[in-house]
Amino acid sequence: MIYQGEEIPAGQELVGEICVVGAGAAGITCALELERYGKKVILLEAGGIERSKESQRLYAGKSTGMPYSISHTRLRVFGGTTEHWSGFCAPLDSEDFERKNYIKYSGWPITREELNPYYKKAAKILKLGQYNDNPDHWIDEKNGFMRYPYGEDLTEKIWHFSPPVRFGRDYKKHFEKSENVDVFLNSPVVDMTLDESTSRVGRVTVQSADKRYYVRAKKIILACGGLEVPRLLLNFNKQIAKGLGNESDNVGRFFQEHPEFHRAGTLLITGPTAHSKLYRGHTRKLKTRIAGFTQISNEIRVQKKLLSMAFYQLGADQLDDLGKEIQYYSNNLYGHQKYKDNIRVFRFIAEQEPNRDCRVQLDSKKDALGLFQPKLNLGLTDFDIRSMRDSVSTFANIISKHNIGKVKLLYPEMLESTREVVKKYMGWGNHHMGATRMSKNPSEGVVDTNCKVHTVDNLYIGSPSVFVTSGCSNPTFTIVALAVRLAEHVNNTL
Amino acid sequence: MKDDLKIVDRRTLIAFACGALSASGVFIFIPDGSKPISQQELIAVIKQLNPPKSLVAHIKQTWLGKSNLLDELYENIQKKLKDIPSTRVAIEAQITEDYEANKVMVVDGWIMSRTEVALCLMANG
Repeated sequence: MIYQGEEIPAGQELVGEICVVGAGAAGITCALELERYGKKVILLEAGGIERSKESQRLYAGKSTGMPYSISHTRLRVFGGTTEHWSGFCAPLDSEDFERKNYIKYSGWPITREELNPYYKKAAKILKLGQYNDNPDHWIDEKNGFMRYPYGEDLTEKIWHFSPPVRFGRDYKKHFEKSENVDVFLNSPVVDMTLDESTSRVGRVTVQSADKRYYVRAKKIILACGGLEVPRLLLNFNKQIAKGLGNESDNVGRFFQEHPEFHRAGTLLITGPTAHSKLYRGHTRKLKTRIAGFTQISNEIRVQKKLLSMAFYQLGADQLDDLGKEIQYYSNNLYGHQKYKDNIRVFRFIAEQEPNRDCRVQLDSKKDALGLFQPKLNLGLTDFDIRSMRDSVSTFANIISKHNIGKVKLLYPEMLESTREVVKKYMGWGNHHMGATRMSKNPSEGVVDTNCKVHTVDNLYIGSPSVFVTSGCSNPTFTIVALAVRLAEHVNNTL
Repeated sequence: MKDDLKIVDRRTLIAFACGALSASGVFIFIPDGSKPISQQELIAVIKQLNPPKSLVAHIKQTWLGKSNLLDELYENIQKKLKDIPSTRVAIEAQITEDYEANKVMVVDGWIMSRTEVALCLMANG
C-alpha cells in the first residue's frame, strides 16, 4: 500500500521487519527483493509522488569547494534521482576493486567476481535486455560491429542502456497493490535513536507536516542517496556526538564525483572500421541497446599511474576548413582515401581519487525540518588533474599511433593548463559516491562488506556512498547490484 | 578536394620526404632498396602529395623557426636507417615512436606527431 505520511497520527509507532529509508533505485530495489523473500517492509520516502519545489528546497546545501549544485544533482521524490536518470549502465571493472599502490585509499574489501551474480539480477531490474559486459560477445563483423585496430593499448567497455527505468513511476502501481511493502510518502526521517545497548537503532523518527510518528524495525536500511546518507548520519548526533556510525571520523569523507567533459573534442576516424556500430551500437533485434566506450588498458594505466577514464562517442561532428585539410593530409599518410571517414564528437567520464578532505559536513544552517544542511567540499587533487591530462593525451596518441584516425581537442590548452581548463569547462556526472565507504576495518570506513554500519548492529546502507573507489562507470547499475546483495544478506540474517 | 588528387600512401610520402631532403642537399635515401629517385620523380611526388596550403601555412606560422623539426626528423630517420633498411618503414616507425613518447604538436587542436608536422612542412618545400 502507499500512504501519505500526513495521514499517520502524531506519535503513532509503526512496526515492520525492515525499514527502508529512501525510495530511489537502491531503496526500491531493496524493498522489492525483500518483498520477494516474504518480508514485511516499511518504505519511507521524504518526497511525494510528484516533484515539488517545496520538497526539493529541503535538498539545499552549501558547496565550499568547486562550484557544485547540491540540490539540482538529486531529486527528492518517489523514485529518487532515477526520475531524471539517463539510463547509462556499466559495471565497475575488476581493477576498480583492486588495491593500487599509486592510488591512496584504493581497494575494496570485496571483489568484482562477488558482485557478478548481483549485476545479472540488476540487469533484469533495470530492463537491460540481453546483458553481457564482455566486448567479445558483441563483435559481429558481418553486421558492422567491429573493433578498432588499437591492439591491446585500448579496450572496449560495454555500456548497456536502461529504457530508463523510472523507479517511482514504474513501481507505483506495484506498491499500491503490495501486501508486504507499505510505502509512506512525505515522510522524511529526522532522527534515529539507539536502544539501551547503543549498538542498535531502536526507533526511527519521521516528521510529516507538523507532526512526528515513529518506526520500529529489526533492521534499517538507509538508502536515500550518496549525499543524504552521510548528512543524516552526521545529524543523528544526540547519542554519538560525532554522528551515528562516525566513531572513526569517516562519515562524509572520501566523497567522489565523476569529472566529465561533455564535449571533449572531435574524433576523425578513418580506415575500414571507421563506421563500426560497436561504439554507437544499437542492437534492436536483441531488444537491448549497447555502446562500446573506450578505456586505456589497465597495463598502461598502471604504468603511467592513471585513474580510470572512459571515452565515448556522442554523435556526428563536422570539420572546419583546416580540419578538412588535416583529414586529407591524414588520409594520405594512412592510405585511407578509399574509406569513408567518420567524424564524431567524443566526451569522457573520469575517476576521482578517494580523498579524505573531499567531504560532506554539516553547515551551520538548518533546513525546515530542523536538520543541519549539508556542506560539501568538492575538489580535484593534483593527481586527479594530472591523470585527466595524461589520459586524454595518451588516448589521442594511441588513436593516432594505430592509424585509427586523428583527435582534435576542443580545449587543447588542457594539455598545458589543465586546472584552468577544468575550472572553466568541466562538468560533473552528478554521481554522489564514497562518503560512507566500505571497509574491513572499522577504523578505515563506515560499513562492512555487507554494507552494515560497523558500529550499529542493525543499520545498513544501500547507497553509492559505500563505494570505495568510483571507476568510470555510471553508478546506478552498481547501486542496484549492491542493493540486491544487501537485501539477500538482510533476509538471510533476519 | 580529395577527388582531384591521386591517392598517395605513406610510402609515397616517404619518397616525397626524401625528395625534399635531397633538394636541400642533405641526403638521398633509397626507398625500399630501389635506386635513388630522380629530381623529376621527386617533383612529381611532391605535386601528387600537394599538402593543403592553408594547413602548411598554419603549421609554418605556428612552428617554423620555433622548433628544429626538420633537423630532428633528419637525425631521427638517420638513426632509424641504421637498423631499418627501408625509409618508408623508418618513417612509420618514427611516427609510432613519436606517439608513444608523446612527441606531439597541437595544430589548431589536432594532435599530430612531430614527424607528421615536419613531413607536412617539407611537403611544401
